[in-house]
Amino acid sequence: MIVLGLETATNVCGVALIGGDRVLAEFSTSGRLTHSQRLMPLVEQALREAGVDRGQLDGIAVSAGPGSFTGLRIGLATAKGLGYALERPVLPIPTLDALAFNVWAWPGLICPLLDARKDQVYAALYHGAGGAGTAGPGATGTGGSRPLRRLGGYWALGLGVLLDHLSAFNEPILFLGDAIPRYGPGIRERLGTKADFAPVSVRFPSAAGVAEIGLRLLVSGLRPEAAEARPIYVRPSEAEVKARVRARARRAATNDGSR
Amino acid sequence: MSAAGDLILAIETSCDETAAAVIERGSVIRANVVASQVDLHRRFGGVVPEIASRRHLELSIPVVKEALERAGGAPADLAAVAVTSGPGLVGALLVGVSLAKSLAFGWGKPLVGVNHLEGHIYANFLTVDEDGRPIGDGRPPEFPFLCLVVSGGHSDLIYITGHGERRALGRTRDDAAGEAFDKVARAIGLGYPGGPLLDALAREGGDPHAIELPRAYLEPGSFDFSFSGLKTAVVHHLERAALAGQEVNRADLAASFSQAVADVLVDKTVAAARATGANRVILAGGVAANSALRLTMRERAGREGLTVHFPPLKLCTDNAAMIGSAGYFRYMAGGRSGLELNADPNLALGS
Ligand SMILES: [Zn+2]
Repeated sequence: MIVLGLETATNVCGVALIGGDRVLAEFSTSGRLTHSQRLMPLVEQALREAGVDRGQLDGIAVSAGPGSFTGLRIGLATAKGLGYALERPVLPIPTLDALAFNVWAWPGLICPLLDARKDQVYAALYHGAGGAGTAGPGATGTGGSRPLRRLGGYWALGLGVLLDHLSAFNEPILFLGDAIPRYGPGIRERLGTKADFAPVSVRFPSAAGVAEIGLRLLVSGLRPEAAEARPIYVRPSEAEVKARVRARARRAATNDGSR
Repeated sequence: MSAAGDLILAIETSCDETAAAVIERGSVIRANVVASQVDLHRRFGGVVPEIASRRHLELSIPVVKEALERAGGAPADLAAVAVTSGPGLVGALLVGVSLAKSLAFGWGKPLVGVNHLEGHIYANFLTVDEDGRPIGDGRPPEFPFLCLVVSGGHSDLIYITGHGERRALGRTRDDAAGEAFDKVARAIGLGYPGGPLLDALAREGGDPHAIELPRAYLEPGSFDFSFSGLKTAVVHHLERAALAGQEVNRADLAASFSQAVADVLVDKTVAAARATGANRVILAGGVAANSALRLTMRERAGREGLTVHFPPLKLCTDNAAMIGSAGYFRYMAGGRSGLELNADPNLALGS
């Protein structure tokens, strides 16, 4: 089986081809050209250099967020178009899952953090597979839809709230993701030696990781249709938030008037 | 389907309509699917770019699928995939551009990026509708002609002598005509989309000469437009009435405003026709659906001995059929886009 992986959720633009037990091609860049300009040429290049015809693809895995709204839509629209044109399944892979997958063997908790702007981070929490009593992601039972066990959902929140939550755990926590340069010092200050940071080379979402998780999903029998693939925004758009606030204010005003 | 080489699949997502179409020889509409987001944006009083982009992503594959099904064809029959690459909302454009690139690559078809304004112009080249009936007189306009593109984003006068041969004569210096319609509609208290609602109100017996409003012609010989002063005059009229405790006849105000816009557009178009020697005038864009503009343009053209060509209302507003027509003529002239094609929110109308 050959799976194409696309990663555009952060300012990394990545494309990878994974087949059998090998990464056939992987390109990653965070240069100045936009994802829109880079992504499809990289797909074409990856297929060409790996000697894979587009018809040989068994599926397309795409980093589905949370992340940059625009980046996610470039990735998802590209994956959907390829999936629809080639009549292949499109597998949306949660970006935070893919990040945690980079460091799956950590013997403690894994906390990927992506900068969500507006003083928030996108975050999730996972049990690393290296701890006592847990098996690696390749082992039986964990190689299916979730390579790592996630504790809770995908969050958009302020660092303070997240650290309040994390301080309740008595395990080492490994942080990674593009929010580390900005929030790393604050994390270190609050959690001390309980916090550790992944090396830069595995700190960012990787298209190969996305492709590998997608491959596992295909092996497990999942065949989602291209039209069904949806991004995970986590946060509503600004306009929706404002509209909700207005609606609440209106309701409050009506309630007061009726008293 | 027909022989390969004459069918184009077109995708348009530059603003708040998710659209796909299949067009034969640049002129026959085989399928024209438009999924409007108007209801979605109405509660915000206008197009919200982030919401539009999210919706485009959800709707784009179903819309493409429906267009292909209605056209009764297989992707293998397509000559190329055409897509609007600008101008428009960048996030909205990116969905269509990303989708079109991956479809073209997946099917192994050439890709043709199309300028949205060029699309509006080519709405006039669509001669057979989805049911096989002729559109208008069933003939494309003959070159050369003068084209007035008026929409929410544009007010442009362009002299066109052939496919891909054109000269920009004038453009708006502030608000586009459609933008002025939307802003005035909001000031009068109408909802979104403002243009059609304002037109409907004006036609409820509004007197186009009831309220005196300014018409900006700028310096002599200029084919540029300016509508911000007119918009301000309407707001001042409403404010003065409110201060004096007078009721404003909204239908009269809507009609007077529409007439003021129409007068300037028509005067400048006629002057540009005289200057270039063109004896045909083509209208394009959403504001070309405005009844005051249509009426005034017909009357004046009749007096001046000019032929006028309008697209049907359905093809004035944003759609992918017009992109398919423009894309076809571009494709026939050897126009191709690479997989690095990007969305350009400010894409200029080149030659
Ligand atoms: Zn338009």
